[in-house]
Amino acid sequence: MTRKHRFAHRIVWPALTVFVALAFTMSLVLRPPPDPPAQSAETKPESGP
Amino acid sequence: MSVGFRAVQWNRDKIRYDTILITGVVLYLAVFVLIYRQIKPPASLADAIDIWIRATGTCAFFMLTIILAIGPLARLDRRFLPVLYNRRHFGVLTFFVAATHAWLMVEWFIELKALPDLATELTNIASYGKFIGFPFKALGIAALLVLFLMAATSHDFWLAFLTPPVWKALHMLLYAAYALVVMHVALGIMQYERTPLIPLMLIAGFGTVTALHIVAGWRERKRDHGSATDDGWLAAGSPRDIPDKGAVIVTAPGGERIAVFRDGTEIGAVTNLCAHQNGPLGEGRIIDGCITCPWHGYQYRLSDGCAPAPFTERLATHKARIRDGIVEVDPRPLPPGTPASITCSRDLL
Repeated sequence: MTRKHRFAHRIVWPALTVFVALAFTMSLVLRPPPDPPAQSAETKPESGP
Repeated sequence: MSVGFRAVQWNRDKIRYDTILITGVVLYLAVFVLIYRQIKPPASLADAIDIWIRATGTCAFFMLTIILAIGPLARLDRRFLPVLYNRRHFGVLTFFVAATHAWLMVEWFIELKALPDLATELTNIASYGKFIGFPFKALGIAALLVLFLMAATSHDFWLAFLTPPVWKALHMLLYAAYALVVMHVALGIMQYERTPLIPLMLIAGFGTVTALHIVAGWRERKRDHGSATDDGWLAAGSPRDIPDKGAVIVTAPGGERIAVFRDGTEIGAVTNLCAHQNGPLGEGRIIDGCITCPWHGYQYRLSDGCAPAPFTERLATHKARIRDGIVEVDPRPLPPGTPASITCSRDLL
């Protein structure tokens, strides 16, 4: 790898780690509570697979 | 165009690599679908398609995780180099698995006669302003487009046409694609399925890949601070410090690396960048009298950095000298293919 590629690697990975870790934690913490069992058996998720 | 097209150069190693790869994918999909059908038998065709969506989605995620782990693993431990050899075919196959995942998702909507819902979901501008409720399929589509770009430019024609530094920079977009895939899953299925397996899969996959890249980058950082002698030449150590048929790597003050090889009494310095894909030549060996790149086996003569006939690749060489029993290298590169190797006395070995 060239010097520029090595430098880019050292910048990109820590930045990507921080960004994804924050976004992932938010998506885990803020996810809606599960549907009650009776209701969830009848309905399909709105957004699909 | 000045670059000629050559069909994929198949050899026994590539065929073996691809056979293992395809067998692995087929086995994973078969086992996943069989186990899932046992646990949760599908009640309709849409349910059956849904199982395949999950199978191909997880398969693509794991493949992408492995692909991104191969580079740093090979830098940290040479035993992983054979896996790196045909990584491009791994990437192309990942694109096909991911494309199948996307196509099955469309099939699922068609089966439920809800295709307009998919279009509405993707074109609802207001939902792009939300975090929870963000159209996660758009993230998947963006990642798929990046994978398509990678697959479409994976051939050596594009590598030669774009030049290795540009091609490499373009293929670094894969890192962004991986982050998009993680968020596609986190904002998608993880929002309405409570199994801990999904967050665990994401944490283990992304955590492993980032840790490997950061550790490999940190280790290499030490090598990037070159120091020169009083007249600007770089000390590479005594001839016996250079392993026979191997190399030591020195770093020029600007940060570019030079590989100093020894083959018996012959010592030569060449750029550390392979002309093929900028692989780390200094981590390779001399085989059959030629410097051999550890990534894909491209070879160059030690004396002048030229690939043996009929190949035409050439490396920039560097002047070398021995002063007070120490091999020193001029950091200024010579034009590619310039003879520059020297012979050292046997007394110094």
